[in-house]
Order: sequence, then structure tokens, then C-alpha cells
Amino acid sequence: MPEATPLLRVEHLKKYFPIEKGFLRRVAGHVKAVDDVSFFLDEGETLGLVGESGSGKTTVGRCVLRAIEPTEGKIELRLDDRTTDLMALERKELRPLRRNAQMIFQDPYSSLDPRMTVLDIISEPIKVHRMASGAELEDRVKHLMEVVGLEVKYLRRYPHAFSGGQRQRIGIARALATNPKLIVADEPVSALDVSIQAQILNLLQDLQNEFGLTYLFIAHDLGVVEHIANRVAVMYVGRLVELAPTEELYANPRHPYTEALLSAVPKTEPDEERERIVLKGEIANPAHPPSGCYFHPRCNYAQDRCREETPLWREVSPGHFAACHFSEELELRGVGEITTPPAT
Amino acid sequence: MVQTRETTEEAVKTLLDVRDVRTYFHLDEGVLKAVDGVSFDIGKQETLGIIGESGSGKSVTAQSIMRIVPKPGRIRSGEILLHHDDRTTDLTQLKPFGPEIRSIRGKDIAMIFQEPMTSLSPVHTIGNQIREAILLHRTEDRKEAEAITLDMLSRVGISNPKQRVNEYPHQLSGGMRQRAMIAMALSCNPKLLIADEPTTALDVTVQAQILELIKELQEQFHMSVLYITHDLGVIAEVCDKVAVMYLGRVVEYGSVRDIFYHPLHPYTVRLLKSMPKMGHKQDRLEAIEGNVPIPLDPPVQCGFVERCTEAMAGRCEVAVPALVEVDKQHWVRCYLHSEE
Repeated sequence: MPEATPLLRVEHLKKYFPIEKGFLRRVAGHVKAVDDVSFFLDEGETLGLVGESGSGKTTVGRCVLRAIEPTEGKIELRLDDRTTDLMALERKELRPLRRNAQMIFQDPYSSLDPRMTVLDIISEPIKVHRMASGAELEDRVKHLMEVVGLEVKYLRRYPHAFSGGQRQRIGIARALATNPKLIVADEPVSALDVSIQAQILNLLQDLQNEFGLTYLFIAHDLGVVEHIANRVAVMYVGRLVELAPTEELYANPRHPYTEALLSAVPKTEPDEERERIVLKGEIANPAHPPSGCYFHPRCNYAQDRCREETPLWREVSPGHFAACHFSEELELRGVGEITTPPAT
Repeated sequence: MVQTRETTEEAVKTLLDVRDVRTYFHLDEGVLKAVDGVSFDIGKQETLGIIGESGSGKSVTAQSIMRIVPKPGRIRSGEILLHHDDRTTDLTQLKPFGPEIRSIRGKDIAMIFQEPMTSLSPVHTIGNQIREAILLHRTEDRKEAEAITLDMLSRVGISNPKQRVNEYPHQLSGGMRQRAMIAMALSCNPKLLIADEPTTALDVTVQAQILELIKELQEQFHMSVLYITHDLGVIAEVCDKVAVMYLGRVVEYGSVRDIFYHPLHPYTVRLLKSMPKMGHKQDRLEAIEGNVPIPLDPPVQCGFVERCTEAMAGRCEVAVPALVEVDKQHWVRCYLHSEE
């Protein structure tokens, strides 16, 4: 079976940002933005990474590409049946590998250089990796524009002449320019209008089917993630609290935080009944996280043990990982139980 | 005064009547018709949602009601009638900086915004900012104002109000800032609260808290709420009535049930289908092709005609359909449903 090794395997990834104090910039502590995160991505699948602002999901995405330097951990990328640990490479050695992993950004307004034409923007990565030049380069850019649904006649226009959805298509074309295997999409639709969101989600799915892309899809919208992801990972204050196949996670959450997140999503129609679990307080400060389980001060099921002991990240059922002392005992409610659709 | 008249019989239950309002921006490039024929009414203690995408004119509608349309925008025609117990004021007739609108703004009609950080002053404490409105509209006694401020802060769920009252906006989290802004808006017992995307910048768990809070306060204060949002979930959650806006016009208007279960306008129908719904997984979303046009010198036609799959040649692109009541309290602006 060829499925043996995943495309990407991340192990014990950590990113600590130092907090500097005083005149001598003495390090007074660390913000543990990402604290011991492990997961893998099979080729051609989409892993959704969800969490609230400040949970560290964007930092994970950037660390995976070494766009920012992780503090510790392993990032193994499989290319042509050879596995390379990206963390073991010097930045220079990393360069040729970069074309295999690209990023799509949230804000299509600030992520495109206003002084570059569409041609410049999309061709830049191709030039950097010396993959084509001259007429071949232009043909390739035109082809990419067609692939993402942009009209080729706009080749020499500047980003300001495009709408939000079209700009996001330019960003996607640029990410695809080097034929990558892995794409980290950081909130790619959250800045777009509802009717445009669906277009971009459909485009991402089409591209995945056509080119066998693998997505790490970072988002906060649980409806969008349910739609696009095969598996979903939930982050809270720098740590993964749960990871499972999408349907399983939404139907049978095994971490109280996931349950609360699912219940907080607004209802999809007026007659739907929803039992809302209102969380106390706010997301913990990663510079001074609480003891034990980071979620315990807000958790409705917390016990003494949660205050003292950090729960282990473990497989609670095949393919379903969670980090809660009581994952096995708690009867948490999934989407089907929280919401009662109206009788038709 | 011209702008004040007797309250009529049917207006007793209605708080705000918006009738065919048009707000245009005269730019060098042409006339931007941001709001081009918007009508709706809000009953006492009722919640109306305006849903629309960026550029639909939903925020300019709110600005027109508050009379804070930025230059060079101007209300060209229409009426915005605010019904008091004994009289009715047409807000469009007031001077935007005059004493009448200033006695209404903040007192009868209050507004909260999407990003509290940009609408709160960074150099004044929370307490100072809330007190300012109270001293202006409610009382001149500083002690009493102080007491009201503390009471408001605790009512919006800010713990330890005695300490928070002396803090600056940057010391609070996003959810707490939004609570502080709600406290400020409600401190003068407004009859109408306009909430312009109040939860868009917040996380889902905080969004749920804020929506719940506004609902509770609405009952306590007996006020009406106008929600402006692009999020169908928020609409389903809190609204009694919905106005769907597209390109400066209300294209459909009815009860929240009518809009969700019997949508008539092709835009509403397609918008509902394009949203991924949690718990109803589809293989593929039904996207609306094309982009939202910019209403700069728009041609006289239905705004949705270019993206509509049901557009009728010779009709939809030559005239603007009227907003017609096709069912009881269910209005739609489409030739598929009316001749006008």
C-alpha cells in the first residue's frame, strides 16, 4: 500500500515568543503560542484547523512552512518518496523545497503588492524557482488565470481594479504557480462576502481534485470547515485539544471545548432549537496560562484533577484524538443533539 | 415646526418608518447611489435585520437614520419618521448638526459599531465616555451619573465595574470592549438601538454571549433593535423581520420565517443556498456567479439582473421592479412575482 507515509508529519511543534523587559531586554518569560502540537496530513486530504483568535492556529500554519522559525519540533515533508525534516535544513537548503508548499492568505487586499500587475504577481514564484521564462512564462501565467477563473485579458491590470473575490483568485493562482503539493490556506474566505465565499470554496475543491492538492485549512468558521475538511483539529491556547474525522468530531465531540464551540455557532434557520453552552470568562492568556488543563477555568465539567494535571494527548477511539482527562466518561453532545431541526 | 406632526393612529405601534429613502454620493466619477429606494418599518420592541453584502448600502442606511452620512453623501429624497408618544419627527428634515437631531442621537436612537476599538476614544477611560452621554441627556448630577455608569457596566456583564470604570479601552478584550460600547449606547434608555455588524469582529463563543446580552437588554429596556449584518446565522438567531438589501435597494422584506422558509427573490433564494450550514453537509455549495457590482451611475434595471439565472429578457434589464406586497407582510421587488 502506498499510503504508508503521510505527506506531512508535524511532531511536538513548539513556538515560544520571548517577552522582553526593561532596558537590557532581559527575557522575562515566554508566550507559548504553539505548545507541543503534533498531527499529520495525508496526500490529497484537507485538515481543518479551528480555534478562536489567539489560539495559535495561524502560527502553526506559518511554522509548518518555516515562514517563521519554530522553537522546536519536527516537520517532515514527503517528496517523491523521500522524507525530509524541514527543521534539520539550513534556510538556504530549504529554498528549493519551498515550491512544494505554498500559502493562501486571509486578506486579499493587503496580501497583494499594489504596484505589481497580475502578471508580475503570479509569475514571481515561477521566476524565483527558475521554472520558466519568456513566452513560456507568460503562457503559464495565462493558463493559471484560466484555472482559477480569471479572464486572461486582465493580465496587465493592477490589484486595485479587482474585487475581493477576484483578488483572492489571484492569490490562489500565485500559490499554485509552482505546482505545490501542500497549501496552507489561512482563513482564505473569511474576508469575503457570503455569495463570493461559496465560489472560492468550490474553486479550492475543484483545484484539489484536479491537482491532488493537500490543504491545511485554517479557519474559525465551523460551518465552512465542516464543508471543506476531511478531518478537523481544534486548538486552544497553543495546544491541540481534539482531532478527528469531520463527521465524527461534529457528531461526537470528546472535548468540552469542542462541544461549547459547536453550540455557539448561530443557528441556520429561525425554527431550529439550539441548546447553548455559554462559556464563562475568556480565552486564557498564553503568557500566563492556567495550571493543568488550560481550559479548566471555563469548563463546566472541570474537577480537581483538571487544575493540577495536564491531560495527555491520546487516541480515544480509532483516528479520534483528544486531550481531556474525562474524554472517555463524559457524554458530550454533538451537532445532532444540540440542535433540533424544525419539524417539516 | 415643519418636521413635527401629530402621531397618527397606525403609527402607535410603529417606532420608525423608513419610506423610499435615497442617499447618493456625488463623486468626480459619477453618482454613487449607495441607498436607492429603501423602505421598512420597525415596531416597538421589535427586531429588524438588514442583511446584505458589502456595497449593498446597509451601513449607509443606518447612517442615514442617524444623520451621520459622511460627505459628500446626501439624503436626496424619502422620509424617515420617528414616532414619539405624542408627535412624529421626520429625521430627513433635520439639520445634521442641529439641536433637534443631537437631542435624538444618543438618546432616542443609539448605535453600536463593528470594531469597538475604533469607535471608543483611546485617551479617555471607559467611565468617562459613558458618563459623557449620561450628563448630556439624562442628568446633570455627577454623582447620579456615576451611579448610572456603574449600574450599566454591571448590567452588560462586566465584572468588577468599580475597577473597569477607570480603565482605558486598550486594557479590555474585544468582547469586553463591545460590552462597554453597549453600556454606553444603552445608558440613556434609547428607544432604538442600531447595531452595525456588532459581532463580526468577535469569536463565536463571544458572539453568542453578546447576542444573548442584547436580547436580554432589549427586554429590560423595552427597546427596538435594528441589526445590520452579512451573517444569515445572526439573522436567524435574533430577528423578527428581515430586509434583504442588494445594490442599494430592499429586494425582499418580510418576517424571518417568510425569508428563510418561503424566499421569493432569486437573490434571497440563492444567498440562502450558498451558505454552508452546520449539520447539513453538501458536496458542493451553490455559489452565485459573478461579483457584487458597484452602484456608480447604475443603469435603470434590476440590480441583480446580471447574476440572476431567471432574468427575463426585455423586462428585468429595462426597468426597476417595484417593491410589492405579494403576501401578507411579505414584500418582494421582482418581476417574477409581480407585474409592477
